[in-house]
Amino acid sequence: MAQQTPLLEIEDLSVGVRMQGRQLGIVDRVNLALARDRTLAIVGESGSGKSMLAMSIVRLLDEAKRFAVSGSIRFDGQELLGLAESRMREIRGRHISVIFQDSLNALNPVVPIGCQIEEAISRTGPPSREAARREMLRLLDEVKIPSPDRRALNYPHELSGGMRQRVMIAMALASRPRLIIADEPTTSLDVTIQSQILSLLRDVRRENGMSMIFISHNLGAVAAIADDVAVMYAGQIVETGTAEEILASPRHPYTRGLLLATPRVDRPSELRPIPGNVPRFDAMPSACRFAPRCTGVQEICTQKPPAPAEFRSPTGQRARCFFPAGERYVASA
Amino acid sequence: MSLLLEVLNLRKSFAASRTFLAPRRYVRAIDTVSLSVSRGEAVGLIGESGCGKSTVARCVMGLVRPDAGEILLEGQSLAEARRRRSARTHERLQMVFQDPYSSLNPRMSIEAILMEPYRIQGKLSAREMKERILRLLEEVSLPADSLSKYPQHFSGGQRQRISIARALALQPSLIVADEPLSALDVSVQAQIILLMKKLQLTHDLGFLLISHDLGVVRNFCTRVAVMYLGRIVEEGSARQVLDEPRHPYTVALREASLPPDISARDRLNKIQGEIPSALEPPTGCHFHPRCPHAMARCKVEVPGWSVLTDGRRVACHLYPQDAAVAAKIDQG
Repeated sequence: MAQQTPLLEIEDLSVGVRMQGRQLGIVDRVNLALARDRTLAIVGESGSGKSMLAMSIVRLLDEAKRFAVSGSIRFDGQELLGLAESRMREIRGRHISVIFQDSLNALNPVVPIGCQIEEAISRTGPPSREAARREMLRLLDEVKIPSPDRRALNYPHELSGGMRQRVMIAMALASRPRLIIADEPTTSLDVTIQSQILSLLRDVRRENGMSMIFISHNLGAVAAIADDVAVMYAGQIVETGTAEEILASPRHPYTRGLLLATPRVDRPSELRPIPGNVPRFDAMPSACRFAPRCTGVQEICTQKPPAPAEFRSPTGQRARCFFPAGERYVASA
Repeated sequence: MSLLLEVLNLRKSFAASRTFLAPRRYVRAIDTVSLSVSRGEAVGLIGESGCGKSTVARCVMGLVRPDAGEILLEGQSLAEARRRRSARTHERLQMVFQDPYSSLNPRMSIEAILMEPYRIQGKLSAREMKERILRLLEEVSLPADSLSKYPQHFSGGQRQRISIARALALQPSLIVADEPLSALDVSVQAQIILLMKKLQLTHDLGFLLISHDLGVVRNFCTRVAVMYLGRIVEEGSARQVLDEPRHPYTVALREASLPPDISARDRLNKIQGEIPSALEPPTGCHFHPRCPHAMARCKVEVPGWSVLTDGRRVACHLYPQDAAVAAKIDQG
C-alpha cells in the first residue's frame, strides 16, 4: 500500500489563554499525526489540555479572543489556522464532526431529535425534504435506535443518556465527515451503556471509512477503541505509540504510573498511586513537567526539559523522557 | 466479627412529578434491601445509576426517611436514636460525599472545618481541639500549614483528604462513602483508596462504600452487594462476586468493566438494552428483559435467595433455591 499523507497533521501547536493580564500556556507545542481510517486516542487527566487541543482543531474554543493558538494544523493538506471563519464553518459542517460528552446540552431541548438530524443533513446540500427524512431514518437505524419513525418525534429529555448519545452520533454522521472528534463521549454513561456506545463508535467509524480522535481519561475505553494513543500530561504530549505499545510496554513513567494507578477489577494487588498532584498551569515545573512526581527522577530531569521524542523506538513509539522504562535503572546504576 | 451496621428489609418510594390530571405515581427506589457491615469491614454497594444504592446510603445517614425496614448501628435502632436526638449516634456514623468541591464550605478555613465537629460536641478545650486537628491532618497526610488555608487552595484529592479528616474527627465506627473517588483523577484515586485502607486498619473502621466502579470496590472492599433497580441481586466476598460473578447482571457489569489492555476490545457490547424506568419496573426478575438466560419463569416470579456452596447469595432462578435457608436470610 502506498504511503498516504496523514488526514490530520498537527505541528508545534500551542494554546495559551490570557488570564488576569498574564498569558498561560495550556497546550505546549504539540506534534501529532492522525492516519486515515484509524482512531487516535488522546489520554490525559483533567487539566492535561486534551480537550483544549481537540477543540482548537475545529476552532471551537470559547471566547476566541482570550485564546491564542499558534503552530500548524493541516487537514487533508489544507492549513486550518488562519482560515477564514466562513471556510472553517464549512469544514466543521462537512468534513469534521464533534461529539460532546454532555448530549443534553449539545442538543436543542425544544426540537424533536428527528428534525435536528434532518437539519444537519440538509446543511450539507439541499436534498428534498423526503430524501432528508429517509436519510434521517437510515441514520437512526445505523446508530441502532429501535423504531426510528417513533423515536424521531421524541425530544431530547425523553431519551436516556445512552439514546441521546446515539442521536449525537447520528448527527455527527449526517454530513458524512472524514473525521470525528469524540470528546469524552461515554464519561457520563453507565458501564453497560458505555460498552454499547464504544462498540457503536467503532463500527460506524469502520463502516464509513472515517478517522476518529477519541478523547478520554478512561484507559479501559481507550484500550477498547483506539489504534493509536497519545498521552498528555500538563499540556504536553509525553508519549505516543500504537495502543498495544502504550498499554503493554509504556516507556514514559507517567504512562506507567497511570496504568498502575488504575484500580483494576482483574488485578487488585497491583494498585500503585502516583504521588502528588497535577501541577497548576501557573506553576509549571520548568524542566520535565512530571519530574516532581516521578519516582525515577534524576538530576538532569530538573535541569532541562526532555525533547518530545527524547526516546524513539524502531517502531515509532516516542516518549518525552531521559530515562524511559527499561533504561532508567541502567542509567542510575 | 461483631455486627456494626444492619439494614433490614429497607423500602423507600419517592413520588414522581405528576403530569396534569394523571394519578400520582411512585418510583420504588429501594425494593426490600437487607445488608450488613461488620466492625472494621469494608462493604461495597455497587450498581449503575438509578439502582438505588445512593438512597440506601442516604437512609443509613438519616438524610432520607425509609418507608419500611430497620437500620441498626451497633444493635441500636437509628430511627429511635434520631428521635431521641442522641449525639452519640451521630458521632459513631459519618459520611464522605462524592463532590469534594461542594461538600466543604468555601468560606471556612480548614481549621474551622475540622474544628466544627469538636465545637458541636463541646467536650474539648481549645488546646485539645488544636492537638486533635493536627493529628487528623497528619493521618490524612496533609501539611500542618493547611489549617489557615481555604478549600479553594486545594486540589480535588486534597479536598477529599480534608473531608475524610472531618469524618474521622469524632472517631466514628462507620463511614458511609458515596462515590468518594468518582470526581477525582485516576492518579489521585489510588492515593485515596490506600488512605482509606490504612484508616480502616488503624481505626478498626467499618466502611459502606457506594460505587459504580468495580475496580475501586475490588481494591478496597472485602464484601460486595450488587444492586439492580432497587434490589440486591448478588452478595458475597469481593473475590467471589467480582472475580467469578454468578448473577447474569453481575456477569454483565464485570464484562463491561474494561481493563486497560487490548483484551478490552473483545468485551464490548455484550449486554443489550438499558436499565428500565423505576416507574414501571419489569415484572418478576427486574433484570429479565436484558438477561441472556431469561426463562418464562423469570417474567412472572421474583427470584428468592439461593445460597451457593461458597457462601454467597444470588437472587436468580438459574440457581436452585433452598427455601429454608433463603427464608432465614430474608429475616436477617
